[in-house]
Amino acid sequence: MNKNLSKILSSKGLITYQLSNSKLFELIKIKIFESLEKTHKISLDNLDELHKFINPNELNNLRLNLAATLNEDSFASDLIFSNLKNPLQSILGPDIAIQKNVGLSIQLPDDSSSLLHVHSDVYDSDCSPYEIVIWIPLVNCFKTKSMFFLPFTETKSIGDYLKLHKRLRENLSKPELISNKFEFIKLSPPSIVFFSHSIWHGNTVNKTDETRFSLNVRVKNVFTPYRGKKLGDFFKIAEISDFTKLASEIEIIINE
Amino acid sequence: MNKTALGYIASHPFWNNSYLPQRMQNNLVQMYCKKKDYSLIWSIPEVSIGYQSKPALNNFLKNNKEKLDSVIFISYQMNHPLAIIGSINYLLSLSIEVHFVIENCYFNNLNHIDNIKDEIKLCHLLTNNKRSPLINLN
Repeated sequence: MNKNLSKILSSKGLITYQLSNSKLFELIKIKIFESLEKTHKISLDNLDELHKFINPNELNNLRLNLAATLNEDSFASDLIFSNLKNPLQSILGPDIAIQKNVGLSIQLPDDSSSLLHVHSDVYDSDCSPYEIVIWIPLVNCFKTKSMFFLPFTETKSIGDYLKLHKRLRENLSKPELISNKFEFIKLSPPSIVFFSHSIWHGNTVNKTDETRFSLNVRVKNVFTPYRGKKLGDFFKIAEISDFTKLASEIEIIINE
Repeated sequence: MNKTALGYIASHPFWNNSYLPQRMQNNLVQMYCKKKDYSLIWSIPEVSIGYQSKPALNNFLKNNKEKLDSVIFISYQMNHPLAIIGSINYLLSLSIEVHFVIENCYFNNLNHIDNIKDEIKLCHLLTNNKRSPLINLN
C-alpha cells in the first residue's frame, strides 16, 4: 500500500490514507474538549455540534485558543508524525521536516467568515511544491462541510493544470464556472488526506447543519528546496536518519 | 513571582541574510516575554563581528549578580551553530532556560535538546550565507 502512495499522490495530487486505529483522532479531540470546557465553559459530546454553543463572531478567538493549546510543546505535530511516520517516509524519504504549528480549521454552518476561496498554495503563497499537506478531519466531512479540490488528472498536463490560475482568478468563489470537475472530499476518521501543495483547492459556505473541525499540517523532505517557509522558522525536524546526523555533524565542523 | 529574562539580540544579519532592525528585535523579545508572563530585565545586542563568538552574552553572564531564569535569543540563526549549541549547553547547565523567539521554541532540560541541535546544524547547512557579511569588511 505504502509503495503506491507516492505514485497516486503524484498522478492525482491527492490521496486518502486510512490509519489502522483512531488513537491520533481521539487524543486530539480529548485536548480540544478539555480546552473548550476549561477556557470557554463549553461541554460538548461531538465537535460537529459546536455551532449550537457559539456565535460566528466568537469563532476566531476560540479557534486561536484551541490552536495554541494543540501546539503547546509541539503536542499536535509530534503526535501526527508519530502516527504517520511510515506513509510519510514512503512518500518523502527518511529525512522529514514538519510544520511547527499545526493549523486548525473550524467551519460553522452558514458562516461565510472563514472561507478559503480556490487557491493553490504554491501559486498563491510562498509554499514550496516539495511540500505536501496532511489534512486530518476530526468529524465526518462531506459535501460543503468538507474541502473541494481539482485533481491533476482533470487536465492533460501539469502545465495546463497550473495555467488554470488565470481563469480561476476571474471568480475565486465559483471555481465550478471554470471546471465542473472540482470534487468535495468525503472523509471520516480514521482516514486522512495527503495532498500536493500545488493542487487547486478551497472551501465554500458550509450548507450542512454540522460544524467542520479539521487539522492541516505541512511536511517535506528536509533536503528539498524551500521557498518562503524555512527550516527553523516554519518547519522543524521530525526525523532524520543516523547517517544524516553524522554527515551534518562532520560538515559543520569542517566549515567552522 | 515571574521568571526573569535576559533578551539577546543581533547586531548583524542572520544566516539567511535577513536583517531585523534592533528596535524590532527588541519589540519581538518584549512581546515574547509578555506572552510568557516573564519579567524582561533588558535586551543586550551581540556586538561581535563574526558568528562564532558571543562576547556580549559571555560578559553579561560573567558579571551578572542578579537572579536570571531565562535567556531569550531573538533567533538561533544569529550565531554559528556550534556557538549557539555551546550557549544552550552552558545556560542549561546553570539551570537557565533558553528561548528562541523567531523559531518559537524553548528548552529547560539538557535531555530535550538533541532534536534542536540537529535542526540548528541543518538549518545552517541549508542556508547560502554561512559567514557574517561583516567579516569581509576589511
